[in-house]
Amino acid sequence: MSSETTYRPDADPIPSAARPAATPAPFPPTWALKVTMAVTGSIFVAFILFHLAGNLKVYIGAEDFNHYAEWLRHLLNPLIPGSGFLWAFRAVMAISLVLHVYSGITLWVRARRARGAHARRFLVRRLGSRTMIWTGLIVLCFIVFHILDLTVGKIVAAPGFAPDDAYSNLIHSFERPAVALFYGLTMALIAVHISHGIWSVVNDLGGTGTRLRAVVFALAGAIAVVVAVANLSIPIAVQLGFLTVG
Amino acid sequence: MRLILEVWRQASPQAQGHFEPYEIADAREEMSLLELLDRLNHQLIEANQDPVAFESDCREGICGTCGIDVNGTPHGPEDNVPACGQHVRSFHDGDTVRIEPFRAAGFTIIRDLIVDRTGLDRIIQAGGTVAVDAGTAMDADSVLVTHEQSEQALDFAACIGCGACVSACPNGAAYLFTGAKLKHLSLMPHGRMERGKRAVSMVAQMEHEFGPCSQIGECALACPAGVPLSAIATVNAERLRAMLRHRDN
Amino acid sequence: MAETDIDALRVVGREIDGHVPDVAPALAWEDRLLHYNLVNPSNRRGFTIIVVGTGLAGAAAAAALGELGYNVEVFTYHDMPRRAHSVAAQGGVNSPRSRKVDNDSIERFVKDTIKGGDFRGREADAFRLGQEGVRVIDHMQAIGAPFAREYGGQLATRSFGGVQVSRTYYTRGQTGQQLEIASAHALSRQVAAGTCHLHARQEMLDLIVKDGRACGIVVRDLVSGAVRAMTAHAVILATGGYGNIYYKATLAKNSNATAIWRAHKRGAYFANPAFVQIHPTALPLMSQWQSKKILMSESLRNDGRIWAPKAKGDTRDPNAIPEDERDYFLERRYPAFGNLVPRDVASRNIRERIDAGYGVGPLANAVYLDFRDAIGRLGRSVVRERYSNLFDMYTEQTGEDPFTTPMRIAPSVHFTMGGLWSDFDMMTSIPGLFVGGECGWSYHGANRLGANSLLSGCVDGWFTLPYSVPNYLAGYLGEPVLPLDDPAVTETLAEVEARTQRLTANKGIHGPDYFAERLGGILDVYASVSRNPADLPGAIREIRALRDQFWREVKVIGTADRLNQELETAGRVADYLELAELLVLDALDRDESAGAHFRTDHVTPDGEAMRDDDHWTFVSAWQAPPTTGPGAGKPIRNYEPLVFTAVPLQQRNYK
Repeated sequence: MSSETTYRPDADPIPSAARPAATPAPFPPTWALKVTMAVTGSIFVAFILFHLAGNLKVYIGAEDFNHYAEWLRHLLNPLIPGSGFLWAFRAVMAISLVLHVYSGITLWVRARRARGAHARRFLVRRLGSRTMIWTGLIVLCFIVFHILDLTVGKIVAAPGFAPDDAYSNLIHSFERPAVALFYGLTMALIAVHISHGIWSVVNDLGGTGTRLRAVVFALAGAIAVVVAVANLSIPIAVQLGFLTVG
Repeated sequence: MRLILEVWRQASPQAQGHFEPYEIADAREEMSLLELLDRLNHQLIEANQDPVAFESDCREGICGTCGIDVNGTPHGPEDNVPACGQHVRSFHDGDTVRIEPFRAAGFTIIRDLIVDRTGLDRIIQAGGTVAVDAGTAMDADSVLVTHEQSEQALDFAACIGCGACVSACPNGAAYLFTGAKLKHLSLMPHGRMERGKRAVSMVAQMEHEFGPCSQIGECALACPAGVPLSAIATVNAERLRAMLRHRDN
Repeated sequence: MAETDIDALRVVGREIDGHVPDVAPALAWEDRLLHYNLVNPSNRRGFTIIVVGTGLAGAAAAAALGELGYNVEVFTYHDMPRRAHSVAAQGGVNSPRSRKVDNDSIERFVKDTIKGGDFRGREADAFRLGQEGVRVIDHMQAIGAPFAREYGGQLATRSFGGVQVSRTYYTRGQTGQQLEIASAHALSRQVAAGTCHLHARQEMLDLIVKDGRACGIVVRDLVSGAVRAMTAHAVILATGGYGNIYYKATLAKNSNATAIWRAHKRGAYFANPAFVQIHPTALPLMSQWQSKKILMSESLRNDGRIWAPKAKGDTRDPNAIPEDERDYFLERRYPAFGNLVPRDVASRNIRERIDAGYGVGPLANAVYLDFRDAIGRLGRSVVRERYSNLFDMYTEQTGEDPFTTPMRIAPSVHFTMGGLWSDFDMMTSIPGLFVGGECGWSYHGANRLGANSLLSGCVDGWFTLPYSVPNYLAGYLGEPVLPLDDPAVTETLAEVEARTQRLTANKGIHGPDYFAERLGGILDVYASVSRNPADLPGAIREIRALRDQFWREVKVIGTADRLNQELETAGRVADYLELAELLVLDALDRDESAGAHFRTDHVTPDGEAMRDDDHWTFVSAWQAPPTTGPGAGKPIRNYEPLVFTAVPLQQRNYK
């Protein structure tokens, strides 16, 4: 005997509570996007620190700075010939950037949808987290500007761009007050972005230990401050005339 | 004490809602916010007006039935206290207090301040359970659990399922809720048997109805049970673990 | 009280049978299990069982029957199963696992339970409670309750009021919450598996009875207002106690008596409605707007000293009242037990002080529970360690700090030992209608021991009903459920509709809460910690007058075809107004004192409750009044004699 012997004119006269959805969860899954954000974001933070170390050579002098730029271009020679490493590195950065931006925007759209029609009050606590999408998009614009300005030397670059003289390119660019200001503001936004970003990495990669979380939380703030202060010092130094060509 | 209440009125899920101002002339410091609503309803009933529909049950902070946003904050101005434990003494004479339902796309408004929070229950149904039938459990003393581990499990099991974490979240995310259950059961001897399977199914169901976490931290400030913020990291920790191990446990 | 007075109010009915197997009470459950009929696993899906309520007993029964393969329809008026009021229990759950060398055993557990209940519970049921209680802990731990552990890794226990052994398992001060959530999640597992169908926000408004058998229920969808019927082979009620009849109790705001009262009106006997437990240490009402009382754990009395001012109406700051003007009345009256006298004794004495004009606080309705001496003796840190969560809760509610200002406490109704009468199989007098948890009666007699209520909910739901319900079902193999167009269904639906219609159509002047408060006031005066038989007939008259006034003057704003909380309250209050009369009638009828039922005319020379075992060693099982015949309109008091063989009858003594 099975349920057919149960005489029920109306199979379920009173609505049952909904059961878990049979339809699949959103694709790509949110957790995977968050992990992608964390991994690519970590790559960027590592790059920023690396980049910062290079930037600071500007204080040692033009020759040193340019030598460093040249070294970068021929890194891992002769194992990888020519600028091979640099291009591989650029490819990783580009892919990371695409994934990071795609994940970020997808998550933002999902977040807006899940929030519903009513905006949350403006939260002062953890300001960084609420502005990730905006600081992120501005930083994206900056990256485009920055590459055109100092790597490619087109459109926005200072007059007299010389592919072999990174030092002069830098100083000439920062001698333009508007560029110095833009660069400076962006550094502040990057600091806000990475301070929350690093804190998010520990969460997205599943760091639940109390001590780990406390350390990363402190580290996130410290790295952000160091990156902002150190990078900001360069346009300021240029503007104040401490750093000049020749 | 005189208070102006701006209360969200909405006749049905489909209806357009709006804030309706009411004056309470004799609010008292020792009233809880729910009692303030009781007072308002008493006043409305006297005047033959429709009372404000709102939910509450135990009124001692454990059932999780009550849930209102007060001036944009779930439950009220004090952190980690449910609405039944929030009091009028947090306000001053003449203040305007805005009371609205829990806000999130995952919480449909049923009427006035009552929302549908069953999405949270569906996350549990998806896997927040332990597959042990009545009578089949082994002697609980034969499974050793450290004092520390049982205390930690209780920190996360303390969740009262009120949904304040979702409403507090600008992303409408249910990470604190889901993470708390994943953590609680991962610390229990029998719960560990389905740890991987559970993470996959609960996270999928959570993503189906609720938003992504941005590590904002508002959830843990609103949580009346004081569930630690690390619960949000537990979600990805458990999910990644399941992906890497590819096992049921 | 003259014989004739009570005879004008009720009829003495027949002796009824509790269907306890004719063996020693310790062997009764084993014997019964041996003789229960079974249902073949492949046939189980063909049986539909309705479970009303998702507290400890309801969620457990539904989950367990679902696990076995039955088709279970679960109803709750909450949005989710986990909200049920079992969630609010604090202290712990008893289980006679007897691991320690403090000489605990199932026999001792039964003795404590029966003695604590003042010999008005069923002995064989108490044995089952102890025997099945052993594996409750194993099961609840397995499905997710993180019981406290010792540093050695094994389960921790503590001792609780009324016993001398340590058999209470706990999860901090939120044991009820952990057990309830674990059970509700077990139910969720069956909902996901498709064996249990969860119907949330549905309130049971009536029972469908056909040919004397329970065949279904009528529910109102609290969101749409639709009134509908569901039929089944059996119905389990696990709808909790009726303590909210006292208006401001420690119960959740939505707890009510409608399901059991409607079942009673359809033929289920109501056992001992007058047995209502009053807890001594609840937060008092501080203002008229305070919506309910809140329980503070009994453990506070271990270190706190209870006192009232020696002078009447003393409104001074408590810290300004010198030592010699304080009356530590429990220590004065009970030098041996002092502040640790049992709940009913403490409640009665506190209430006596308040009524005599010595109450303190803004409404002069409390006494002090003072930790000053404990802080002086043990130091602040020890007191904080022991009671910090309770002190925090007190501060959260009152804004006062118990470290500097004595707590104010007052007695409050919080548990009802009475409920629907059931036999040893937990089946009521209506075949097919079962009960579980606080809405039933059986274990706790006239007074419940601390931490026994969580146990009874778990045992009923997990380890009793899953055996006894199939035994009943086995006799109806292959029979369909009652069709929804059967006259029994349509007539019941029509009656519910008519009652709802009557409430919403009434052009009254007061909201339902007005009447609930008045009714609570009457019961509080006449039928709480002590009952004076001379006053009780007057109380019945007052209740009847209030009931008439209710139907004349009640005002329900809004219509029945939508979410309407006023209508919900009105329906519940209407049922309270009927149940209250039976409660007072039972208090008047039971011509003895027993446990929480303290009659002022049955007092020992020491001022304690005095039982009359010669005449009252039985359960009163009230039958709804017949509508015709010589006893028309008068409730019939049937009786099930109680026999005590394992725990001989004796008088309680706490002096």
